[in-house]
Amino acid sequence: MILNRIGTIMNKMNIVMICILSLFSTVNCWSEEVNLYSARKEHLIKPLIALFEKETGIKVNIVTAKASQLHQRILREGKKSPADVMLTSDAGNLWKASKEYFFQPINSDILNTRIEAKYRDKNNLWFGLSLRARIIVYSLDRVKENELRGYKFLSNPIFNNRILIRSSSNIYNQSLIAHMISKYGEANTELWAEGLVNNLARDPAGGDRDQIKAIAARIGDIAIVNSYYIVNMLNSDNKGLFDSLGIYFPKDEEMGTHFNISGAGLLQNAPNANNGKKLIEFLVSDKAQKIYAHTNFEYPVVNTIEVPLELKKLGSYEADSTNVYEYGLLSYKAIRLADRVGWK
Amino acid sequence: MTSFIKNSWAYFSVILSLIVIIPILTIFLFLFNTGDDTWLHLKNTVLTTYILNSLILLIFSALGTLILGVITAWLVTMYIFPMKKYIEWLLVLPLAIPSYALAYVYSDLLSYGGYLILIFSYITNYEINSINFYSIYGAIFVFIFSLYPYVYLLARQAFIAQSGTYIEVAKVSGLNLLSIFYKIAIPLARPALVGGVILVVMETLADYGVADYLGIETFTKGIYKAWFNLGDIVSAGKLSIILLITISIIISLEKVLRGKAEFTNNTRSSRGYKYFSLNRYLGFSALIICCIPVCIGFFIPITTLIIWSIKSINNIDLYNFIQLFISSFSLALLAAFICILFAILIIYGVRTNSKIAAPFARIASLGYSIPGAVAAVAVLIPLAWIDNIISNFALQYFNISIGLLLTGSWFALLFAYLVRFLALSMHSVENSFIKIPISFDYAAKVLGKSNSSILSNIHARIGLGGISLGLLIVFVDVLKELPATMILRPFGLSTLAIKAHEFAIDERLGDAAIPLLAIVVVCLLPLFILARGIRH
Repeated sequence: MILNRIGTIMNKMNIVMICILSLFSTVNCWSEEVNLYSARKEHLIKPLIALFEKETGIKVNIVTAKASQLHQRILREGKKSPADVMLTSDAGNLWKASKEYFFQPINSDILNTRIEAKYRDKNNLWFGLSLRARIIVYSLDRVKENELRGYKFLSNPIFNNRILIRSSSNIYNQSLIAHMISKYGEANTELWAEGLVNNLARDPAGGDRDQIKAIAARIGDIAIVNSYYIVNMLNSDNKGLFDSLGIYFPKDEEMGTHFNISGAGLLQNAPNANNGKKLIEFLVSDKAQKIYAHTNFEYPVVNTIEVPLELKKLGSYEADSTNVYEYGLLSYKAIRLADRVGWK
Repeated sequence: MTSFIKNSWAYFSVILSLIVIIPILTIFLFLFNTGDDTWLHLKNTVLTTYILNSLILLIFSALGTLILGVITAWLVTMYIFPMKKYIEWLLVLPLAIPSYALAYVYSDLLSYGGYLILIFSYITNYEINSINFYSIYGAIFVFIFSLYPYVYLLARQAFIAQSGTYIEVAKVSGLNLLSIFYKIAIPLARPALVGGVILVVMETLADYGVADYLGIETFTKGIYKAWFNLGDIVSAGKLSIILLITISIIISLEKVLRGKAEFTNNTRSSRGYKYFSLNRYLGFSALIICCIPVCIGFFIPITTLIIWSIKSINNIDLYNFIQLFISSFSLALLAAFICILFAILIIYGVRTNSKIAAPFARIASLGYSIPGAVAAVAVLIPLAWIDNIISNFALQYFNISIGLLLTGSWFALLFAYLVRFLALSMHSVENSFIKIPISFDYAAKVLGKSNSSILSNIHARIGLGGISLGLLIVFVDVLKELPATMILRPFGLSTLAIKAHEFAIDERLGDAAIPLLAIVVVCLLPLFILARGIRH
């Protein structure tokens, strides 16, 4: 009698347990899936993901957040993390993730032949997928083109009170500083940054578009911005601004134009490692690379892909040869350097 | 044992508080990690700026919201002036607009080619290109006009609850309305005002969105920098603890100053204030004064958002948008109910035995001043620990692999909201319970009622106003919440706030406008109910 009752109670408990478990579980009807932690915003990767799902029948589950937040989440979830692939929009965060042993190497001929060596990790832990350049927009009236001579020359006093750039807390600036350190050494870069801060037309404020608008508002003459935002502005109401603005890809004897990557790595404990590998390989396929170029207006990492007119119009360039791995390696030094010279 | 039973409510309250305190304590664990010289670097370079900026922000936002909230609340409580019926609830509406949205809107309107700049130079004929909104003044402006409704709501509730008898006595004694205002109404409303200002202070300190967008170097940004950019969890922990201690000092200072004063209303007359009518000019100025915050905090931003939305209406994916709408709404509603339940039980426990329960309740309410991302990781650490234990247990005894149950589920997210927003619901519940004379409890006890029946029959009914206020404020805040949601959300769950944020940091404000507008619309519904509620 009592045993019977305990039996029924246990049965009920089982049902409750099953209900609770099913509430938490993320199982669904797709047979194949891949879990993606993405620091790229959803609207930027959505067309790519939709195409991947259509072509392979593999469902992609996405969580997007800032790279540093995803980093914390993977760290805390530990070995049982459900994440298969981590996607970031800069090299520094990929380097940080690989330093914590988040990634497993992928041995893939596709990735190694299609992506230039400087845009991927030498141990095959992460891979660049698309490129953005940090370039200069300037006022055609107030700046002569021969005055512009690469990044380093921007600290020259002739630019006093004329330069616009956003805060050093922005990852693109941190990467640029890290890149400079790798080229010129820390002491020289600190001198450069000091000069640059002295030349600023105002305290760093706003995003990249705001720097361009500030030239139009005559606050400064030269803005250091990302190629991506320029193309986006050229496609919007603000197009008129560019009538009096020039675009310049910085380059001098020592250093070519600074490019940052968006990239991905396969996680160490990926439950769907095979699908993760497929996803990353898909992202460097011709179709995917075209989406990067034509929808997001980023430079494709595979150099045989035709870039759209919007990007061609910006001008031709010579990318620097430094491996983007340096951006991560030197990022802590770069942040501290910026703090020391008072680059807000 | 008997004392335990006698105090069971208080102990229960302690247990509930402890659940929330555990993640707060987790932050102290950060200190036991091995750090590097980041702390020294921060101290030598930027820390002073961070502290100064945060102090300036805090002081001016507190003062600004206090002045704005109290004056508007007093005007609509005491006087009759044109359009008052509408102004009364219009004043609450800025609460529906996330403060980061206010920052987006005004920085754009005041930038080169922005509408406000164009209108300004057209009217004044004064040639001006742009106003730099990316400054500490901009941030203060944003905080004042987005947060003053906290003070307004609590002040108004307090003014209404004050008995008209006091005013009549004061009038008979020859005091004019102005002296009644600062000699009677303000001192009596003090707990509510302080409660409102403390909410503003905590919100300002924990803010990341506005400071990040406007490029203000605040203390919270320092925490993010130390932890997420420089990778030093020890410095981040130290900074967080300094933040927590500062807040606790501010709160306890108020408790000490308040001393033994009681603020319950013991007069039997429940007659409210009588309204005073104003002559035409004064009435008109009262209207103008009340319109300023409504326009700046609500109408200008909402119009801008609507204009932006119309421009980008073609980019919208309706199916996805409805999904976002539903998930944001249900998440906020669920979180609001959980928070208010915890708040009622904790506060009632404090009431039955404040010596045991009050200190824990105070600490639990500190969660509101923890920046969202820090709170999220503080929640992740104990949950991941429990998860691993459960998972290993299941593997060992039942041989099934269940992965992580709690982290990466709604549970973790709701827990984080509880830690972050419990203070909001506790403040409003406390404010409404404090006005119920303790003699009611005694009387009910003498009549043989149990604590639970006293709670459900007396406090829950008399305090219904405060309870629904708490419910709605948490609902609105969860709807606007960003960092914790981003870090903890499970696969496939996104919210309107996240969507808006992603577009905004990609510098596509036009596309961000539609989800922002949806947040405002969802917030408006409960705010209407709230606004109707406070009139009765």
